[in-house]
Amino acid sequence: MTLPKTITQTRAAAPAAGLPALQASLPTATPAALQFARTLHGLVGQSMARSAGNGAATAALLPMAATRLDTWHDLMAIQRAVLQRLQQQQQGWLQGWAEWAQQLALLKRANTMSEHAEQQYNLMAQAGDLLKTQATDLLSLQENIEVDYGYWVAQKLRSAGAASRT
Amino acid sequence: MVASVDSKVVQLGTYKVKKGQSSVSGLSSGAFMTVQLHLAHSASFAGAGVIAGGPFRCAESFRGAAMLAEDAYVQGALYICMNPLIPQTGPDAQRLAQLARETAQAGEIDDVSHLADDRVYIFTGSEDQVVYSEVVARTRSFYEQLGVQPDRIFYEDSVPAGHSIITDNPEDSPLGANQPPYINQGGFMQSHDILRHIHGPLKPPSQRLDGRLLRFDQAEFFGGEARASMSEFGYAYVPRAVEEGAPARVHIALHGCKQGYNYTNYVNGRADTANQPPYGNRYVTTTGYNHIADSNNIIVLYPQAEGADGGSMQNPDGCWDWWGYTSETPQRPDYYSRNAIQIKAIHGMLSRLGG
Repeated sequence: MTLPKTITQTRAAAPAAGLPALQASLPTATPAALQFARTLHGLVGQSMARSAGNGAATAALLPMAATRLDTWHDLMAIQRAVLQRLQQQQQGWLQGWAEWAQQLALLKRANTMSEHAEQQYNLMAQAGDLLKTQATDLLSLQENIEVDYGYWVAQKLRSAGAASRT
Repeated sequence: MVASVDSKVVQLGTYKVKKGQSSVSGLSSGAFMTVQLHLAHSASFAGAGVIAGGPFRCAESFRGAAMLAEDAYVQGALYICMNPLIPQTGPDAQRLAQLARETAQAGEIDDVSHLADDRVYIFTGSEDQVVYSEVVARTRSFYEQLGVQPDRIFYEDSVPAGHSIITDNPEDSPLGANQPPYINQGGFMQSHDILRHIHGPLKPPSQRLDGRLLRFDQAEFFGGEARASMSEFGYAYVPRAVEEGAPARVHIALHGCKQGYNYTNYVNGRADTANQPPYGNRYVTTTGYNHIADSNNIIVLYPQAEGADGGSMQNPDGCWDWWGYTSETPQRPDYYSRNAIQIKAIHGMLSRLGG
């Protein structure tokens, strides 16, 4: 509620080796479609960079924190939290599909052809919304895990570094 | 309970306001902005009310979240300051308090020593799924780190409320709801509790409003600039006694996302203007602020944010800026400072009123 749930990168990512090839293969692409492609490319690249960064930071952290109980406690807690979120998401999706199936089963009386057509399209649109929610929920959780893990590791490295200086 | 506004647009006037005794409160993005405004101009305020909001500059907790600064701050806002996986991945109150001190030393906000004698109301609903309770708990810790005495902080986290401001209006949403309009029925007026905590014992709220609810030209306070993401009009409730010259205090009430008068819901990425009217002034007229203000000579100021989603500005939900979307330089955002376009505008309104 406090932020837009979809994050779109409207500023073009720094030119990458693949971009001219992309432009060549989309000679009829509208500027908006090209911007969309660049945005997707940029965000996916960002996710990969984050994963690589998290891996490197983890490697740096392990020697300092491997024997610390609180480190393992936190990691287990993160795992549990991720599973819990996945479960909650799944429950939400199942409920959504159950309600959609109920709607499908109820044949509403339509007095006009347009009303009948509207009912059919409404069901299709609702199914589309459910699929959209599932996809965005999963992507959001993926980003949540990447950002939170990276932040957690950064904090651990900082406190381990501070401890080694004292 | 609903006050009407006449059809005029006025210029915000000046009243006999007691300096340094004003206050500010907000819900959600309004709560994050409340903390920012409180810190930026702590010399002007006696206290603040934070409903479901996090600490100062929380969105900047982890620059490493993304390559582009603006992306990192959006993701920090979402995944650290709203929905951290575990408390350990939530905001670090100690670090953010230190950041606040450094920000004050740099001259960007008032000296944090002004906070020491302030009173702060902090609330999180135990069923809040939008801004988790562990984030709001860090807000309490943040204020304590900056010298606000624990007995001056009211902290509540046991009410089974969703993400909302709570009222006793029968037509409002169920208490545990986490959806628009984010005004939930819980059997009490939270706005009254906020003002009582900040200002001490108050007279009971008026049963019938005697003052005027004004619609004023808000654009003059931000120069009409689109990047402010603020509406053409703001609202202010002025008790009759204050209009007739009685000394007054000002309380700034900041709505949350999707609660500005001009907000229209988006369906599949498009504002559904064909089917839905804008949100209107529901936050202004039904959350109870006006009734307790009326009997206690408090002017309630309701600045209004509005949605914008196009080009480089991404704020479709009409949120107050707590992650940097109004900043001209994303790498060095200034959304939290005295010079921030929204904070400058709101403080300008307070100054015009006389506070």
